[in-house]
Amino acid sequence: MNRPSDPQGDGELERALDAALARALVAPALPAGFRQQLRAAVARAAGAGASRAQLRAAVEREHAEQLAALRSGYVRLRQRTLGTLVGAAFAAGLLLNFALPWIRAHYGDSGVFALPAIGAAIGVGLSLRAWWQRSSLARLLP
Amino acid sequence: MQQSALSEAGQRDLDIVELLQGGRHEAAFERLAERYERKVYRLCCSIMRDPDQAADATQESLLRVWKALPGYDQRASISTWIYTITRNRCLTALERRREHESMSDPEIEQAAEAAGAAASVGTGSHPAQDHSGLLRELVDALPVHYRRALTLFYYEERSVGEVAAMLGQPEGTIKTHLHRARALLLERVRALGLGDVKQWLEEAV
Repeated sequence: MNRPSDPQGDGELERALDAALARALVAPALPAGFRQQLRAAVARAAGAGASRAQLRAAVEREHAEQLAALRSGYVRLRQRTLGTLVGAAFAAGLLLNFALPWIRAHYGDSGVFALPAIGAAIGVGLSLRAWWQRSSLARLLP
Repeated sequence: MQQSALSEAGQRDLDIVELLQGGRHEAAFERLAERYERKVYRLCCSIMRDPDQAADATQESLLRVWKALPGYDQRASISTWIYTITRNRCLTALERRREHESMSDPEIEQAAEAAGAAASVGTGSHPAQDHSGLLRELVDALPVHYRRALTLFYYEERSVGEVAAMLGQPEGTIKTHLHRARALLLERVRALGLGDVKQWLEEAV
């Protein structure tokens, strides 16, 4: 145990404390989107003394920036969905490649057609259900 | 070394001054925000001790800087000027918060905070493994001037000059506060009776 009167021990303790504090006190990061919020606030503040037309232009600029951010998020989402679909299709193809010989061996040639038919029926059923829910017909029924 | 670091910062801000002299306030503010927003936020965090309120105070401070930018007269360096505005903004926000909490006396609030932190540390309600959390609580329980100097010192990668500029105090005062803060921390860590203090500190990750 280090004693307060031990200068060498205190030096070591201070170094250990310094290192521990450097690890414990990490600089906080600014919240996400802070700069955009600041720009919007500055635009609003600048608009307070400006004409109606300038204020409108600033608000429209802010709106356009927000819309562009939303659009880029939407495009990213669509790309992700497309990537998932393509990936899933290839994975299904690969799986089928291994599964078909096994199905043929166990259920014969009819099994090869029955399994995709069941899958197709499930898929068509799900899509019909989705379309039914989206259509106004479902809301008209009790 | 710290003086040269500060003059380096002053040199670095010459571009902002030139933009201002050329009447390009928006470009000057854009550059200033890019350079100082994180530092201003850290200063706000060290004073407000609440990330959300610190973010609000940062935005309000920078907005004030924006409004006052055309009147900047170069009597003080850009950084000193920004930090002064930020401190004033934070202190006003703290006053407002105290009014809401109906505790107008800062000494009472500080004493209450310190007592609360000391009590929670003393009761041993924290898991022994959470050394870093316990250390942060001990820092939180330090007197306000020591705590601000110490947290900013580590936020600003151990630059005494930067901390002095941020808090508007001489470097000697900051060094004294840092020295006393560390001494007090060591004393409080020892008082916890954790065994080998050095080992405990080394395990505080």
